[in-house]
Amino acid sequence: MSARDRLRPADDGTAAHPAKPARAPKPPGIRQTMSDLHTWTGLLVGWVLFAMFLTGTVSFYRDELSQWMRPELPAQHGFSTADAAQHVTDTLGRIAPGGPTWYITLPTPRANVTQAFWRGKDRFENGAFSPDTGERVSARDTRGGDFFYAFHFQFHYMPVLWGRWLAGFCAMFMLIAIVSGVITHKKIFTDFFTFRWGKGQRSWLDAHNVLSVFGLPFHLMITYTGLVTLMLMYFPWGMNAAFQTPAQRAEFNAEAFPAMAPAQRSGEGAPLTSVAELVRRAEAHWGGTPAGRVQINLPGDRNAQVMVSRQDEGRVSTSPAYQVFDGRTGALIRSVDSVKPAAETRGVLYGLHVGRFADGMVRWLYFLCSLGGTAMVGTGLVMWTVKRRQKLPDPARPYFGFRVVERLNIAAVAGLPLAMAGFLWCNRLLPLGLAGRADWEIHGFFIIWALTLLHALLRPAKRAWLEQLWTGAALLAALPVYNLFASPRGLAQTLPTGDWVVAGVDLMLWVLAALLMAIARRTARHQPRPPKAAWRGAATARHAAAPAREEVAG
Amino acid sequence: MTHLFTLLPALGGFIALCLAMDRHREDLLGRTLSRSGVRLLRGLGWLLLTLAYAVAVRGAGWGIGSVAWTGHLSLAAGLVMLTLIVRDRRRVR
Repeated sequence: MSARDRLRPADDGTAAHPAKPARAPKPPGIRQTMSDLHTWTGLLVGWVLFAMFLTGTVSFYRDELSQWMRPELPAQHGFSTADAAQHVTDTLGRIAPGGPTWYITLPTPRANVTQAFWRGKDRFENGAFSPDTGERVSARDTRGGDFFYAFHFQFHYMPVLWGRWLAGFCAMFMLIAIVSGVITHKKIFTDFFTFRWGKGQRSWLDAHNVLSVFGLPFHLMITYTGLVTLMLMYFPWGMNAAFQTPAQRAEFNAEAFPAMAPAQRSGEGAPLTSVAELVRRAEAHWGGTPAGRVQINLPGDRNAQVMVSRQDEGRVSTSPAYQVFDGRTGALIRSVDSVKPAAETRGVLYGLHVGRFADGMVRWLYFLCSLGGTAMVGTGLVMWTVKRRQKLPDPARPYFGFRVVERLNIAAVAGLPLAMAGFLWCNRLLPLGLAGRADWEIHGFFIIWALTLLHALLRPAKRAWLEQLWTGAALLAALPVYNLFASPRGLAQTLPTGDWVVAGVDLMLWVLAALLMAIARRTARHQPRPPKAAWRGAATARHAAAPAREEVAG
Repeated sequence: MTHLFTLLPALGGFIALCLAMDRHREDLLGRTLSRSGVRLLRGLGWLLLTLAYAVAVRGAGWGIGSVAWTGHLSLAAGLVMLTLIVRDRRRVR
């Protein structure tokens, strides 16, 4: 009895199972095999995908989050990219004279500082500078929104390359799950607006379908283009075969990335021309689109060169668009406005993924669709247990695999938002003078996430869900309140002055807290009984959902 | 403005498509419709979705317009769905 029951939960009522000869008159059809494929590819990488999706979702507001996490820095109202470039160049001339290359990222309406990095005496250094004065500004040591961004495709505590391979592996599985899911879902059009409330497994499937279908263009796009962003790493063979000699490689790089021909140091000093003027000329060439980056080679040398790159605003492609000037005379050396079709295709796909072209509204659409995608993965994960719980011989003592999935689901779906809120709290509460403070914020994130897993393993499943959802909601909701008292850019300051970048983050934290609360309340109401009684409830739910289950086993 | 005028026809389009489906029409209007009426609603729905695309492309160009359009489609479908759910819940109570 027990051995057969152990096998049963894995059986989706498929005709493929050898233990059920009565139901195996013919081999499983395409929908059934696709359904199984969908279920198991989804489950295998689901937890990682959920984390990639959620951290990727907040990364659309990476700059805003970075500002929120450095509240010491004042909001910027109206600056000139040309002046900001000049100011930071003047400052770099003092603190990094003669450095072979300075890389400068100019401020935008969403980013309030000029960022620069350069090669110091024995390692790369970086700093943030005021767009108005060029003075180096000091804020708390933090990775800001860049942490979630980096985490969503390369994780942490592992070599960057391993992380990227893992992310690519999961994204390829995601692609398989999307395609097999579409094939499995028989009635995309008939059931387009179908959601049956309070029907147990049927409701979960409806929710999963609606979230998947409504956001389908986005889900397909973001998964595929995510792979494209790292395609030269995942599939280098085409490039390797076509570009073999170093010269060909250089040509390839010039096409794919903004690049300056390497200049020879003359050894003869010469002052740098006005960088502000160069930026203004480039911006005029682009019809007023602001410059995004400036790179200066051999500053202070006779052979200095300045490259001004266009911001990604207003065009979907991220393919290189830049102008290179002689750093001494200011003469235009090269102007790149378009690339060949292959490079442009990559640029568009890359641009679609990162969405840097987006205006406020399109960024919201990206965020909403991506949040929907996160919920799609989350409902898929939960559904695996919902579907199998009904078939458990003894719901009080599920088999090992079920328990593993159930607990991992809690730590992934409820634990991750909690840990992300915890990360923001670390940003607020860790002592400013702490050595390696930025690293400790991240350690804090992972410690809290690990604790949610421990908690999920130790508590009864439903209690664990509720406790983590409520804790996450409370942590998120309390952040703006804490900022009111302890941050120079709390809502009391940001709302009256129209500082929407930071006010928006605070308000959004409340919205997300409300969302977690709504999920928690729903979870509490859904199964208000202890395991024994819940089994009877599950039995009636099974009765109600029985015809549906035969219909779609995905 | 482009965004508003993309979202509105998209919303209208999905409402029409939703009403063209038997299950939802009976829930919402409590009546059936002739074959030609259904076909008309369906045609209107698709027409409005196409109109939304035209508005988006005209306002923001082919690239960004297409992206914005798919986003607005997702949003509009989501709003119609939410309305259906809220209505359904109200009626049950």
